[in-house]
Amino acid sequence: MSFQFDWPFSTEDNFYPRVTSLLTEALNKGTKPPIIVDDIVVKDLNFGTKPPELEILEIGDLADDRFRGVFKLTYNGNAFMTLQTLIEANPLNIYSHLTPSFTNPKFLAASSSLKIPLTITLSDIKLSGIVILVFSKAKGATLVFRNDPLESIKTSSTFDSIPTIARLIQSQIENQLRLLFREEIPAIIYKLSQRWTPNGNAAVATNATLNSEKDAKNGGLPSSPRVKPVTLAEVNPDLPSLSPTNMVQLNLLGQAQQTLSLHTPAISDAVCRSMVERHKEQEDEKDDDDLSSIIIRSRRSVKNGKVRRHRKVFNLRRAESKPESSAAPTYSEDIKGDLMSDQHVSAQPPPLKI
Amino acid sequence: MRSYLEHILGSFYTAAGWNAENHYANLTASSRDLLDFDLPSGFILHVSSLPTGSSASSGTIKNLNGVVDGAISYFYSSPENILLKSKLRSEDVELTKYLSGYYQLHLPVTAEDPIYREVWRKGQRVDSKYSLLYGKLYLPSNTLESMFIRQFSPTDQIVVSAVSDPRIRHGGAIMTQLQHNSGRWCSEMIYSSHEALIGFRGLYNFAVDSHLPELPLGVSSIPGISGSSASSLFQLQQSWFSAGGEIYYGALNKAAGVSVGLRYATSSSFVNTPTTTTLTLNPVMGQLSVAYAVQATNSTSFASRFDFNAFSYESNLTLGCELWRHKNRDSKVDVFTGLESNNTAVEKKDATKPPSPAQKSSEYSEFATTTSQPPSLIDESVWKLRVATDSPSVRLLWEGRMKAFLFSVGAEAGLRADQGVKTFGLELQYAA
Repeated sequence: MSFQFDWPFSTEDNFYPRVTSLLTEALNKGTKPPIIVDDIVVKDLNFGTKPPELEILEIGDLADDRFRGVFKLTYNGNAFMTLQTLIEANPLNIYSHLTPSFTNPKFLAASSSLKIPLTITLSDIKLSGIVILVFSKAKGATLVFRNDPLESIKTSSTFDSIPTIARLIQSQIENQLRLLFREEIPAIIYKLSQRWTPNGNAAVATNATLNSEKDAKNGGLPSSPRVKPVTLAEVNPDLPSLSPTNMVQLNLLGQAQQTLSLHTPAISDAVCRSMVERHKEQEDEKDDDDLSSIIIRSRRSVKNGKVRRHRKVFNLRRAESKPESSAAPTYSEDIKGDLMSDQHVSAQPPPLKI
Repeated sequence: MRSYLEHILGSFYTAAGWNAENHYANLTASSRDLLDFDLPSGFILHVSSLPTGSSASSGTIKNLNGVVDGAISYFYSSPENILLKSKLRSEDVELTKYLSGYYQLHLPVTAEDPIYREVWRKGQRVDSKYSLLYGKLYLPSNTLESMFIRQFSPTDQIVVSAVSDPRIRHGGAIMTQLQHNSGRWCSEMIYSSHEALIGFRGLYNFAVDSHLPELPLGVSSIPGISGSSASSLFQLQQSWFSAGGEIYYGALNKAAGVSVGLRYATSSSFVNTPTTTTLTLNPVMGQLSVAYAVQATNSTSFASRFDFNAFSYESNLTLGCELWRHKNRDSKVDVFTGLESNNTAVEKKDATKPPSPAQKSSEYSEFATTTSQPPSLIDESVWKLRVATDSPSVRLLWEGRMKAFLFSVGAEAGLRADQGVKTFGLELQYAA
């Protein structure tokens, strides 16, 4: 199986500036070593002409709209990147920042700082590593490196004429890049892939509409945040077919008759009565299995917050003929517990007695 | 605002006759205190006490953005009652000396002959060397700082400071300074265990006569005038040059640094306004810094500093000023001694100045009824302001004394209209 990469990306509009800004933000996140005194800015970025090679090791999850796999990634192309920053040239200045303040000999002018601009070009990047790639049409794509992929990298900087400093820069840059691959690349690729997901597009459009509303100083309620209606299957195709909102409404309806809540969910073409209790002797109610007596029995069995165990047999009678009802599941005496179980709900409930 | 440790150290050095201005690290002390003052961050409260003349203790509580920190510290000094030599209580501490104003330098005098320190009793020597022991424990973070100072003779001293913190490499660091301070020459050898840094600093005062004539009889018995300022009264020389340098080498990180400095200072307002001009140069990094500080009147001081780097052409101009608001001057002032009638002693420098016209007029109106204003809540206060070209913000500090508390309110505000107040802090100190 082979992969065809659309490489390089230069045909996409706004791609290189966006990647540059994301990479600059990622490099400056977190604490920098005291030798670097200014922000690290990505001046030039080019992904080269040769795409990386992916070799499939394992495929985990494969469906029409999502995909997960473990690959071996090798890259031997000619991508390059140029960074610019300022570094501190006085080692005593770095010392005075690192030493605890109580034992700091008070340097007078020996620790004055000298900032030197530094431009580094990273080229000849050789990557080889195992990567887990997850792609989902709805959520986007991301990849995570399982091991350290950086094999070798060539750094050329303004300090090339001084070999000791060049070696120091090489080691510092390699460390920063290893950190970048492990921690920041997954987040960057995820953010970039948001452009191709419908939710990402809506999120981008949401930000745009909200910002424009803020600019227009809209005093009233904001309009609906969704630009176009999004179906449930688009957002999360793994969800069950029942909507959780509807389940909550049903539960509220059932509970509205047990609580003092004034909320009665409106159901069209029906009359809602708050009390379903009938005044009957307790023996007559024992074997009634319509909804009202079941509720009465369940209420009675809850004393001091504890549910007493029942030993009742319930026959779920259906409106159809008996042979079908014999196939209906019957509860044995072993069943103890809450009466409002799933089985009960999914069966056709008996009509409410008015 | 100076910490209680710096206050105790100042009192210790005064009692032991050690001239701390003679160190090379304090070459730019005047301009540094006017330009590089620290702003308090958050809310800080210090409470200190001096139960005996030899021991002191202090506690601190700090609240910064909801994070509460604290520390306790203890001091112990060896000969009895030496900490009582200068005022340490916050009610009557001398504010112009304590609130880090223009640091008026005094002509360096020679240290006393060590024979004056000997105390004999029944044929045995019972004096103890001047020493100070200090420990501070930061409570949530369990960091311990300690310091030990011992004077072998009036001219030689060793200072050992150590920090113990699990976050530092090797668990902590220790620094030793061996100092030699005679009137003309002051040198220090420094060793720090953090990166095995070795350093040497030296300062030489030109044309200072280390051997001064004895004080005329009766002068030192005048209250309010101590020995060194009395000698400067009778010295013709009121300005002097100092030159010094420092060199460091870190054995573990192969770091080295060197700098040289030059200072011209005048100390008396009889001759002209007290000024201090300094020049420091780091030849390896090409950094040149020139500072000028002047005490224009009794209540105002100004300072300016220009930094320039010959390699990177970075330059920076810093300006600072300080305005004092003194106590009401309607109390009667004795002309000769400078003592006010409510018996608070005036600072040393007032004794060297001629009485101001305000004091004279109040002296003449002694027989007239003076209307005394009700004592205001804030006793004496100072406003400090600093602007610099490399940072777009203004640093403002207001320090003073309110009843028995020393307070310090600081803020850093941006100069542009859209920038607000960046930091704001309040610090209170109480010392009993």
